[in-house]
Amino acid sequence: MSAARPTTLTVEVDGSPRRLLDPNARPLDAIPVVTPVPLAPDSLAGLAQVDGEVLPVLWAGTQRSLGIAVLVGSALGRAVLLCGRVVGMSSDAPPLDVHALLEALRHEVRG
Amino acid sequence: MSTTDRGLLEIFLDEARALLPRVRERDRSAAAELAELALVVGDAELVELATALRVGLERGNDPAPLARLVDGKLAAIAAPAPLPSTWDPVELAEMRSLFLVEARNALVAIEASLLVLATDPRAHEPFEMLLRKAHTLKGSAGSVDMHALSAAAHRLEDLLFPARHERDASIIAAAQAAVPELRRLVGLDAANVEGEVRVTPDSQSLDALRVDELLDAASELVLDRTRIERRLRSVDELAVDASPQLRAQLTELSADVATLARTTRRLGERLRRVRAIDFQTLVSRVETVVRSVALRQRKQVHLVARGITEEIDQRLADALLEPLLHALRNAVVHGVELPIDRLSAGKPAAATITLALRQTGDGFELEVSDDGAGVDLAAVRRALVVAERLTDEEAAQLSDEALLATLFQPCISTRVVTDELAGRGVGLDAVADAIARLGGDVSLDTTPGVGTRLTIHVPVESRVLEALLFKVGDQVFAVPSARVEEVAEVDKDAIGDDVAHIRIGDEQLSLVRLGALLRIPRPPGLGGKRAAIVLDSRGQRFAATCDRLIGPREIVVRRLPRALVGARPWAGATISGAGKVQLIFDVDALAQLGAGKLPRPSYPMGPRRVLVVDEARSLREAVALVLEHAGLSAERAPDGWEALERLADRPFDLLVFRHEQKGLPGPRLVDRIRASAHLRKLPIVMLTDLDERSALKLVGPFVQAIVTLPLRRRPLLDAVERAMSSVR
Repeated sequence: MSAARPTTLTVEVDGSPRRLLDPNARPLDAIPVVTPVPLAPDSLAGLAQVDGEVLPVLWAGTQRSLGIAVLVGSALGRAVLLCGRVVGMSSDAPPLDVHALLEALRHEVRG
Repeated sequence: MSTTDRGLLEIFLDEARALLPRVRERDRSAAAELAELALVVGDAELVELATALRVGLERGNDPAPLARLVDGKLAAIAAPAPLPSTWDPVELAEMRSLFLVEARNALVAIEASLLVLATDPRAHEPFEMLLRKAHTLKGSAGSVDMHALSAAAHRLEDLLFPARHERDASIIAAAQAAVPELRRLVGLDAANVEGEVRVTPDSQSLDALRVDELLDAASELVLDRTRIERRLRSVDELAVDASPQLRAQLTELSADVATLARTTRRLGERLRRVRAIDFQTLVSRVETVVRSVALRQRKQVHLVARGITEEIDQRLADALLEPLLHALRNAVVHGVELPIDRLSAGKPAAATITLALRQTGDGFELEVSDDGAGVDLAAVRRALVVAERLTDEEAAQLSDEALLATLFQPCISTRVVTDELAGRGVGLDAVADAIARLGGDVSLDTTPGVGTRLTIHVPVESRVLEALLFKVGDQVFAVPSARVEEVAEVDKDAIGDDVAHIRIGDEQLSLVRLGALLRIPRPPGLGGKRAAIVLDSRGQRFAATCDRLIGPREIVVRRLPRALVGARPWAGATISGAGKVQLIFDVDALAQLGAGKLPRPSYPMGPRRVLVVDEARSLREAVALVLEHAGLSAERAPDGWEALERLADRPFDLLVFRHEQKGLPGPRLVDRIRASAHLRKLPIVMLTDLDERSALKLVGPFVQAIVTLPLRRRPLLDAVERAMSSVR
């Protein structure tokens, strides 16, 4: 059994388009004020307050691009993703697994 | 019940009684008939006992203990209704309420004793305790007209008494089988208890509510005390020129307030302990369920508990019971293999499920792990496609971690056949839901053939906290005021790089230099003084130095995002008036990190830090910019003296200095660095106007790389790379 791929927000990460699997992902108007978390892994830019909630802010790629901040959700809660720019909506770009990014962060933090 | 129903029931009961002698003779078909009759009679406990008897016979167990229980149960069902109560209804309800508290305590003791006896059936004291509690329960229940409970306790007592001096595991197993009925009758597993008393969660937690009120009052006391302290400090400052008598009075008042601080802290801690139960109590509550599910699944399971002396809040324990039962049921049904499959896989026939509780800095962690078959990831992929959550391709691309996370979504099950225990995908999603309501999170990891581990993390409740705010570098941090013993001003020379202790007052304290520990650059314009915050960690005092104190504030504690739960040394965060996130320290984790009792994280943390030293600003800036462009973090120092000061204050990964400079000449700077135990291994790159050969003669063995001027980008970066890789 195979269903059609959904069309979702696609952003530029390390120069290439990547499709966010969260259908509710949305770009933020501005990059929020990010508080660094000392002793946290490199992949975490820090913490930011969005709509009264404290959220992790992650670098989407290996290049530290501060083009745009995107609010995304996963089974591990909401997060802000820092990436190059919004490419548009697509269904064929390679997916970006935000859950995997958060899970990897959690794994590193817990040792 | 109608006369006809009663007549039919008596026929069924007669048939059941007639089967018992054959069952005692180990007749399996009689046991099977008995189990079917129990279903017809419809009594849950009788069904449970008869099933256990049938399964036990198939395994070759001695049927006598369970047969005795079945006999007693048949007698209880057949017994006529008890005589009308002689109690006044209001009095009786009150008496029952009081008795139920006692009954639940007795049941906890019964379950705890059984837990010990499960591993050592001959243990004398737990057995005597078990017998005593069954006897007490029987008598007390009868006295408040709770006849079914009294009869159930009586049957347990009858089972145990003959085994007082000689017993084996079958007696203990039979006693364990009697526990669910007792729990139901005292209202621990269902809302209704026998008789007119309905025990609701509210009345159960009446004591907890009173403790909550006391805790609130204790918190207010802390706030009052903090206000008095602040005012006292103000008065103290105003009274600098006051008379010696007034100064003496102020000193005494300060001492009294310090005593009050210690007393209020003790009060809060003791009240929190009143509301705590030990983990063993929670384990006792789930243990019988594990056995029951294992029995139905025809599996063998040992439940092992770790951290049983750890304490958790009573309310939290109540809230955790349901998800824990789901998790355990899931482990037995999905994780543990049938004995025959385990034996053929080279494992013992009985699986081990381990329940482990441990306190973390910001809450606690509960692990349910089994040594079963592990999660079949291919089956999860198939289930996701069948449920039309993902396409074949997407399912194939999903990482193992993400795949496991989908098991927490509703209606995802790898089980093909559904039954009353599993297969509808309502196990782990219920766990995740319940834990999310507590503000916690759940994760799963698995190894095929080795087992599965479910980790539940529950943080402390969100709350308003009196905190001390301070700055390290330009960043604001908070620490709970309740953990602050005092604040002192110290000279920067007293907290140099090699210093592990500091004297505050008459006391020598362990020192944690926060700037160095957290790798935060020093703010510009820092004077010769630092603030030392004396903190209490489990009765041990230590000092943490910061760059600037901000002062006490009342803050609202926010939990860390789920992906960061457990990140050390953080207990949570708060949001400032300007909307910026500020981190709150977990004082115990900080103490341990500072003392080197916790390993520093092994993952990369932020860019590498380089200190660039040269009196010529143009060269200093050029070098720093080249390094920053290459992804390093560069700080600047105009001479060797300031370089030494900065190196003592914050950790650096590399020093780049120019050989020819005023103040502290390059070779002497190198000598001082190499003489410091703390800095001896710091990699160094030397910039020089000399040719490389002459420079090597001067400092060759003591620096990792030499760069000859004029400055060129590539040779500088190559030298930096060479120097850094020399110490990796």
